[in-house]
Amino acid sequence: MNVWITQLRKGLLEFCVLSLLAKGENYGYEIVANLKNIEVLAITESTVYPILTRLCKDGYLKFRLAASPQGPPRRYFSLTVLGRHRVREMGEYWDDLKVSIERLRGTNSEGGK
Amino acid sequence: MEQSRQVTHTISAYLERIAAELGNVSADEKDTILQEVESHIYDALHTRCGDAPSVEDLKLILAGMDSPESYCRDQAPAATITDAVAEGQRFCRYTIVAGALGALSLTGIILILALVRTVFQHVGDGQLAVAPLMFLFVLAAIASTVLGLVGISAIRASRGRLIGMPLAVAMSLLYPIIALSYALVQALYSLCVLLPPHTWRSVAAGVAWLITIAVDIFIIRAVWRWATRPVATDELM
Repeated sequence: MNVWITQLRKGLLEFCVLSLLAKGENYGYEIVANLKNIEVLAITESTVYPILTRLCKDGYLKFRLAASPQGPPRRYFSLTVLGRHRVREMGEYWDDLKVSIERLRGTNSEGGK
Repeated sequence: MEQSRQVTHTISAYLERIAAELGNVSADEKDTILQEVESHIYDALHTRCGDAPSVEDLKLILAGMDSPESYCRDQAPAATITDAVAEGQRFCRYTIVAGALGALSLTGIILILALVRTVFQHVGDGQLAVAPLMFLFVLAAIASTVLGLVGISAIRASRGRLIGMPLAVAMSLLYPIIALSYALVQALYSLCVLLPPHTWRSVAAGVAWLITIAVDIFIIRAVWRWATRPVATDELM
């Protein structure tokens, strides 16, 4: 059960990051803080920062540097055209998946009664 | 001042431990991750205690963050072929053969067409000499297209064990796109000839090329989406 949950969380992380950034640009600390609010996903900085870096490298995200009140400059991440396309595709797939699984679970529970 | 130096030193030590855990990550990615974590720590410090953080505040914040060891558990997926091979993935053999045949046939066909147009233009019978060779290159072209399609199926069914999807898609599309573009341009040109004034014909010819390029891009995008769509359970090996 734990392995299944870990795999599911891992698969959803990229979707969560892209979906959050689809609302507008944001910087690392705020991204982590927002994603931490989804408690069931148990997202932490050690998973988010490597994903942000990889998404930038893959061309789904871009960033701009801006001065921070303290410490090094902040990277404000936002979606590229490719990233917007990717999150739209993921969203469509997620909706289809959700409906199909709900239908399956509904059918199963009716059959079991 | 001493407090500030201790804070900086503690942050540096924490980042060094993370850097040691990010062993397989490229230098650029490692730098970016470390800068993000550093920025995260300073933002957390600023949120918690304003502009004058103490070492104790920092230690509390670091205690609430992931341990440096946790950066090791979730390496980024392979970005290069070398990384992929290191992670146990391998390049799809069908795709490799398709790529080799595609490159060979394309080069051969171009060379033969150039030869026919230049050397043999006044020696009609000489063209027969290259006909068998041309036949072989056309066969190789058809084989590269078929193997490209087989490669796409194999890569999709491998659940990430095989790589090379861009090459497989390129090989499956190379000749169909060339053939389609040629047919489309010919068809649109024949329509352009029907137009009366010559000035408009050149504009129409340009539009014909633009339409052809747009159709090609549309097809390539559609095939790429089809090839990279989520894998259904019954497609898996």
